[in-house]
Amino acid sequence: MAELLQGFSVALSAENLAYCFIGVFLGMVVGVLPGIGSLAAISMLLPITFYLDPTTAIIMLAGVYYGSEYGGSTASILLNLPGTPSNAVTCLDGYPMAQKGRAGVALFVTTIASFVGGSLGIILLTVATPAFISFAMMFQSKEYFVALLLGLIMAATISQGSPARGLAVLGVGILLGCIGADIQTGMARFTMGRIQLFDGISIVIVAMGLFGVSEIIWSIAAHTTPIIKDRITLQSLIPTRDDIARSAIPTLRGTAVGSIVGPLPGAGLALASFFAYALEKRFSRRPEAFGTGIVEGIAAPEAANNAAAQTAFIPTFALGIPGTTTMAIMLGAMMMHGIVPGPQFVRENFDMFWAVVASFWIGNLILLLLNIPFIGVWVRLLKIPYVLLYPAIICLVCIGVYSLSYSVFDVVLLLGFGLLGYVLRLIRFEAAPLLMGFVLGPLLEENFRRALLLAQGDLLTLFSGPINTTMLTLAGLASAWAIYARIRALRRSEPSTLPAASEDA
Amino acid sequence: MSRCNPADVAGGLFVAAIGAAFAAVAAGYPLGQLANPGPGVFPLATGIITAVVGLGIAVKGFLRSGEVRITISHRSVIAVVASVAAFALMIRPLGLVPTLFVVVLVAALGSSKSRPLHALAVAVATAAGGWLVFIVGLGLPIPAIRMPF
Repeated sequence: MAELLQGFSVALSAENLAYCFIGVFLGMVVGVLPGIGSLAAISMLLPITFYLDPTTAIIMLAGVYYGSEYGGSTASILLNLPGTPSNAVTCLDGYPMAQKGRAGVALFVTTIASFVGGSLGIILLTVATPAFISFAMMFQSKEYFVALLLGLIMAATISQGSPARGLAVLGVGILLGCIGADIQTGMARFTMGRIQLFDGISIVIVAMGLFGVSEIIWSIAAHTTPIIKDRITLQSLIPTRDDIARSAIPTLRGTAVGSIVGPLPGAGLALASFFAYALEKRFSRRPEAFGTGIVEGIAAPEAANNAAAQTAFIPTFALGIPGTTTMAIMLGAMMMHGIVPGPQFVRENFDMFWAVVASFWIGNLILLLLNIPFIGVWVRLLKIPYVLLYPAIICLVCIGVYSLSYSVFDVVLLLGFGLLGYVLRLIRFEAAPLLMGFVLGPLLEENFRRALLLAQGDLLTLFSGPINTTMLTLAGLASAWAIYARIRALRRSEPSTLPAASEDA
Repeated sequence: MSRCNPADVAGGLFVAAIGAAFAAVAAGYPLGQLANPGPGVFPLATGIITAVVGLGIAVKGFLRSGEVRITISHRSVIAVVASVAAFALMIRPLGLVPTLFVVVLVAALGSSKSRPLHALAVAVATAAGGWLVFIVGLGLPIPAIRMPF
């Protein structure tokens, strides 16, 4: 408790408070606007954070991440267009509510559900991270190697339509991560004699190319200017007593689902909200009412994705193993500031960890205040045509990349990754595993080589030991279940209803 | 309906080519022994696995039929690529303000919904805003305007 209070005193400093506000505000903006995700926004902000204190930088970037989860539901409800992939299920009941003239109530309920989900998620984060850390203390190179390997494979296969395609893209990402000086010998690898590649490709370039430039190309063709009929007044936000009563339990159930799914590698926020919706439908006494615009159908998924957004930080902080693409970017940001997450992270950066956790509380409160009174402003933001926005976004992306080292070569690389991302999208290969492989590949290699050295070259030893056996058994059971579920789904020949988690999987 | 899935064939071969290329280059690096692996081992192994997975996808794509319609929006691809390329070409010789102005105008060509006057307004606003935020505010060492000659 004392640590948390100490954290609050850091997080409440004028500078940190200001950057927390900027972070959640920008998160709301990109969340509300379809076509720009939190992933692109965080990578655009990365170069700016070089000038900040690492704690402040993480506070701001995390704010963008969970802020966008708040904002994403607005477009789902008003336009039937998810602001972020994890808000896709919210369309199912949110949009029908708006058509019935109850958009205000829907926005209010999702805001409250988001706040409750987020807050309970933070409590779990506060309690569980130290426990995870004492577990992670037992990790050595071979345990890290296996955990990273399994985490990457799960992330690449679970959230994807096709496991093979996910693995293929993951492999490409790991290979691209090998470019640059070898960590142990300093030998230049795959640099083609280019001095600019000696330090490797910056994660900013990869992320902005794959998720900024290619997303823009994609969205220009797809976008139509939204038409919103209702004016959302403060009056219209007020839910009935019945609304409150019916959304209370689903909010809590959604939070529980999100908290469990959040830390799992590869599951991500979209899956959390999808599971929460499915579970709610199963628990309900009137499942046929789902999809017609009932509050249960929006409270549960919104609580789930916000809880998951917070608990996703647990493995990132405690093990240094991010479960999702956005978390991989956060990890990259920490590493750029010279912080290596993992068991040492909380021990050596005690103040920083608790300050970041405290900032989550503050950020969630700011989001609540930003949402309820100013809902009309956010609705107006939705009306800005994309055609006016995207040229300016391209400029921001270019400046961000150029400012890394004032090298034109970096901008050319950006273009290359942008086209790669677009091509992958065209042929329905998801780009998310590429980024995860790119960030975690070097860690995987480092632990692989160190573990082999310790095992004196015995490959089998790498997969032995009580922790590794447990992890491998669990992974085996999980994949057996996944295969069983797939076969059963094929037998019923139902089209897969899993949401395609494109960006924040 | 075609007898194969062109997206999987193309994507699988593409991935396989990348994996094979990396593996071929890595094979030329010192491999060391298993007890002390050199810089070539990890990329070689990853390259081979990636190439195998890619080939597998391509073969599966050949055998299975699939209806994948690929629609490329040529206009937006060309405009976005040209605008980023314009940034790369102009930022050094001309400075930030003229570069942003041109980048916005080129990018705006990518959408059929663009109107010339709107694009001009966004170009002026972005150039001015970029100068204010990045040069005045953050103090990036990029010249605002530079004469190329």
